[in-house]
Amino acid sequence: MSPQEAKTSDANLILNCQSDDQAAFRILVERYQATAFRFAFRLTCNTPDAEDLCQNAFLRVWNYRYRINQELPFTTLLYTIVSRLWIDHQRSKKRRFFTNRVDALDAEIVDPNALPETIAINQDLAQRIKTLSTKLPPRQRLVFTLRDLEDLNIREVMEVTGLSAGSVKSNLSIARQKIRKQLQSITGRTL
Amino acid sequence: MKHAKWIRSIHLLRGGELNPEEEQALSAHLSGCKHCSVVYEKLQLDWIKVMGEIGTEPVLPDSERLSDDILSAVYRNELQSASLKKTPRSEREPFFLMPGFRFGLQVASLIFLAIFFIEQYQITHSVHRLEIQLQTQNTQPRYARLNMIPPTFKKQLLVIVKEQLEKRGLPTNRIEEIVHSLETGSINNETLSTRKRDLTRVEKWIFGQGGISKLKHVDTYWRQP
Repeated sequence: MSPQEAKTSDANLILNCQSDDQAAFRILVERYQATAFRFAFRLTCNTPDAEDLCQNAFLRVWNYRYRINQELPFTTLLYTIVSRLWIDHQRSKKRRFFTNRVDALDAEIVDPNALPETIAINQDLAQRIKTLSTKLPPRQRLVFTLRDLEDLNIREVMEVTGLSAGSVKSNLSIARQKIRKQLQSITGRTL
Repeated sequence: MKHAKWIRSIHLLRGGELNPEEEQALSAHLSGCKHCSVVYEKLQLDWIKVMGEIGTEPVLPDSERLSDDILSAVYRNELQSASLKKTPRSEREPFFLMPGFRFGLQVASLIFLAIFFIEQYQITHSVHRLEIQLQTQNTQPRYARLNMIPPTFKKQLLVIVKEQLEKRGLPTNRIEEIVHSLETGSINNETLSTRKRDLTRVEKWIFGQGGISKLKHVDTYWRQP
């Protein structure tokens, strides 16, 4: 499916969703849940949290379906919702008293139906992302994830984050420098 | 431009965020600056490592379960909102019959009553206190200001008062009595009971147009802080 076809198709699906068509919504979910999960996982470094974010993001899409402009790419909307939910999640996490305890408990929750291989890959990846990018402030981490890991262009990053081009570039440059420093400091040990 | 700024640009060059002119300028600098070209090469290597480590895509454990979870969450949400919308506004009981409203009203009336009784108690208490104060002071507040005339003017005033009372043809013993009570500042109930009329006249005269305003230096005295 070419991007133009996908866009048209997404627009049609959103239009159908706006007519309360749950089947159209199901197609949207099946089409984009992997993208949402991938992005959420790279932000949260945790499978259950990523799934929760993903679920909440789609729930929000359904709840606000009448306000969605079907002309705009659906992925941008999805990235925007997931990133805002993640920022809210980060803030609420800060407010929580027993944050570390809850994190520790979250980390232990494993889907019983998931394949051991999948669990291992995700846990390993989460550990690596944590090691390299956990010290970045949320904004820098978000910009870095969107641009370098999700491969969005600067304009799309601007739309998702609501930052100016200058701000995106500056955050990105600082994030890359920090990650490089972090890599240098741990080379030969973890990586 | 210093090295730090070029290095910042090198970081942006990696993702193609620089415009063609900036890119050209950076390339020209890299061909001439050994320090920056070393950083650039090192950065390329580092970046390959970073991407090798965290560029891997996470695996969605169970896509069917996740989509089912999402759709069931949407369905639950729809059910909840439908149950809220179920009862039309016209069929709902009036707001004043709702338990929350009635409870609020009860609490508000209790608070109002409590405030009312506290106010009543305070008023009664303060009136009672004032009565006690008046009784103990043994002085009518109306004539209190006669006792408050400053000593600077008292002598002048007494002379004028005496003259005025003599002009009115009052007996000497009554004049002496009034002047004495003004002089000592002791206008008590006993004086009031016998000389109330005279005192009222004197007070009116002193604080009216005839008395204090005619005294010497009275303006400058009252202007003092």
